[in-house]
Amino acid sequence: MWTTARELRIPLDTRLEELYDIPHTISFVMRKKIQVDNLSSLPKDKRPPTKMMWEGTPEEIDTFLERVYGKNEDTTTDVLITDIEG
Amino acid sequence: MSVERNDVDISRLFMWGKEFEIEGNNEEKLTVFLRLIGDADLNKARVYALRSSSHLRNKLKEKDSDERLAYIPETGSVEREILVEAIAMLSIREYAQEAVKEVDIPYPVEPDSDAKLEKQEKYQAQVDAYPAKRDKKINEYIVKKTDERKKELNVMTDEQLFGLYEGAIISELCENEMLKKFKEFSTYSGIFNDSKYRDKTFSSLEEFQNLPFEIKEKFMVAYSELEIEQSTLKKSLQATL
Repeated sequence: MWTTARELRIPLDTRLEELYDIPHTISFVMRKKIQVDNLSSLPKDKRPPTKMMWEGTPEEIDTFLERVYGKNEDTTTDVLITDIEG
Repeated sequence: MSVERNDVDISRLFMWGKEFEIEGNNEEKLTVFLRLIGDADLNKARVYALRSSSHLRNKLKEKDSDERLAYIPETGSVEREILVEAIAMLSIREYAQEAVKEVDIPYPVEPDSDAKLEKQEKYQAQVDAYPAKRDKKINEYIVKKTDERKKELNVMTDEQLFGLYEGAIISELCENEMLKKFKEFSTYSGIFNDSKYRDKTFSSLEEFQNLPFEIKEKFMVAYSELEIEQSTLKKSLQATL
């Protein structure tokens, strides 16, 4: 959370005392950032296209990674978030 | 004009709560505190909304239910032309979602950080023109798909048409129900008596739902002003990369 706040160069709200308190918008941004950072750290030839990283569903990204790595290799990306939002 | 990533105000992400004063029917004012809900409540809202839409779907499919009698016309009571137009119109949401995926217009390539001013100006102009260019392509896609759909519908039998119409009406009603219930639950979960957001104003969802319509609407509008669209959230992130 703090890493993201630092990245965004905005102090995190002091009213957020518990993880439970984090508004879903901030939570989404944090998870999406981790996801994009992880995918961006893959070698260029294994990296999903930019549009897929931002707009793709978790299933589309999974399928892409399975294709470029082969099904049995480790394609862990740590966080794959759903696109469902309020 | 939609917000592009160069215009995103990242600090808005942290404006997630506010004081809100509401006037009741007896001119008595009530001050509450609204905040965007967290993931746990968001998930509860989603589950509640899905159950509600599922309940409505079952009712709409049930022969002689009040909901079916109110919303689904009897077979043969609607003219072909109206059925075709209605099915095509009710498919627009689906085509719009498809279009967002299918229409691929590359985003302008950012010049190097030491690029000349004129190059940077040109890039900004391309960024500014991007939403209109994309919207135009999306509209063209929707019009094309709708026209194709109408051609397909025009050669169908009355029975086939009515079946599709019924399905489309049910989908639309359930979609609206899901959204309505999701907003109700989210708003109810985000209203508090205190600025620390600990003491909920309404003890149950039912209590909130039973408010007079105008008051409930005011709460829901005020809550929705705190929301940020997912596409804008993504742009706010892209702007920081």
